[in-house]
Amino acid sequence: MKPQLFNLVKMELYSAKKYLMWYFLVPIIYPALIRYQANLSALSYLVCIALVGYILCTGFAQSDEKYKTGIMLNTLPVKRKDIINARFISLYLVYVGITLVHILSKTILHFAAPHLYDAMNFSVIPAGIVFVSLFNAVQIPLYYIFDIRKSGIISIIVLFCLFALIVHFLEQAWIVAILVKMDTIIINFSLMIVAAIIFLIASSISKIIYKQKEF
Amino acid sequence: METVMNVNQLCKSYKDFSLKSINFQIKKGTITGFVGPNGSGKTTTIKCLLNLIRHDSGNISILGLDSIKHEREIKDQLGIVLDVGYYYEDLTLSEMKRLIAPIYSAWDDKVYQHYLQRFSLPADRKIKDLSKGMRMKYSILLAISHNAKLFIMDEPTSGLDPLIRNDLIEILKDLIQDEERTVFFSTHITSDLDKVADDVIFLFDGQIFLQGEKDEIKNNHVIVKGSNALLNEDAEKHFIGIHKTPYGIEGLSNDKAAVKRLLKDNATYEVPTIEDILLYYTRRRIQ
Repeated sequence: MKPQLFNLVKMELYSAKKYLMWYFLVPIIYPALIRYQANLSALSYLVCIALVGYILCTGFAQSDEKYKTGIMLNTLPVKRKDIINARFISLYLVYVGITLVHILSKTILHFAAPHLYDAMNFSVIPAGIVFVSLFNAVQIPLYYIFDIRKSGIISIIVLFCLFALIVHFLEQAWIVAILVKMDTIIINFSLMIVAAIIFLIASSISKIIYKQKEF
Repeated sequence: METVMNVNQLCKSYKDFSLKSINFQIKKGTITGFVGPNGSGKTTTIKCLLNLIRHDSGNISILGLDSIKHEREIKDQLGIVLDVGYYYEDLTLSEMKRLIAPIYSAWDDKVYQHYLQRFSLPADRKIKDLSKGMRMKYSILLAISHNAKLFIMDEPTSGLDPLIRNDLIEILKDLIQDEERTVFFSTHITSDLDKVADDVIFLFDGQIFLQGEKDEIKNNHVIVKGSNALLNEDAEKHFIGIHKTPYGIEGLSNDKAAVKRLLKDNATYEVPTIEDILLYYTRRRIQ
């Protein structure tokens, strides 16, 4: 990572340190609330990631509003594209942290009470990465176009529509037929590629918008 | 004299306001005041200089580099002090410094520690708990510590009590002692400029109406006071503005010789302050 980018990531995370501690309570508490039920258990990780993702994006946006981060960062000798890269990297770093804490929490719970809690289902993690990539892809560019209030409402509407479309798509018989035949490794690999493409598109759009932004 | 900033034909339009072809140069080792009433375009100009907003046309060169193409290199050498001071308020001065310092290529921690002591700033206090004067000092401290060559300040003294303002003025004077650093600061508090500025640029309604060396501008103008009987059509032509009261007249002229020739010893003549000059010119433009 370039030194400037590294410093910006450090700034992003440091500025949110007060709230980050609370975000990490979600993957600790949430798995404990969901007792052994195969479907719910897999879903718990996705819901946990979505919950943290929403609070995280909103938290960064609120921090931008409160501290006028746009002016502060753009008076420093840094490139605008690095500011956006730093934001995305910070978000993904927090997601990685949340995932690790979630795994740890699930593992401890499973060992302590195996009849109540199942072990972590690792196969859900690639889907989780696609999930957060979609989340960021909608939330972040919208935030740079609109203000925090408008973008919050619009992104929720867009995300609902998007997930409804995805569910509808995945329910199609021919898709189900393909997925059933596919190996889990290939599915996971495909999901990672989808996540990477979404990330690249979202960060490129955000950079274009941010480059034109006035403070 | 070497110039550190060159602004050419700078234009920026909004729905209800526009900067109209701004031109000026800043000489190295000087303090230049950018003065104008609220809403005259000072902050818009400064935001254009810093690329916080995109200008519609014109070009800006800072420290010999194009302000858009070499934005990063320029900002590495700029000391930017904005009216509020934008920082992560919940961090202490030391924490904020630790985040900012690695971003600059020429950060000098010894200088930081020296000026931290000199400005009597509490390193462990949260930024949100600082007074406005302390915030300004902190902004200047950060700028000095990365060895900034040019300080761009937007209303650094507004909202400060006279004591702290005087303190800041002294700091600005100290900054340019080595003649390597240059200060460009906007203000609507004209008395600050009288104390410290070498050059002054007057702005009103998005246009520069007067600029040059402060002493030369003051010497070229004169405040004339006298009885109402003194005024006639011939004399009035030589005034920028005249303020008439039942007790007499007071006016500003930029043609000292002509006014003295016409009014002779019947009037009194005073050197105008920057405020006098600003007021008379802006009133004329409003009319």
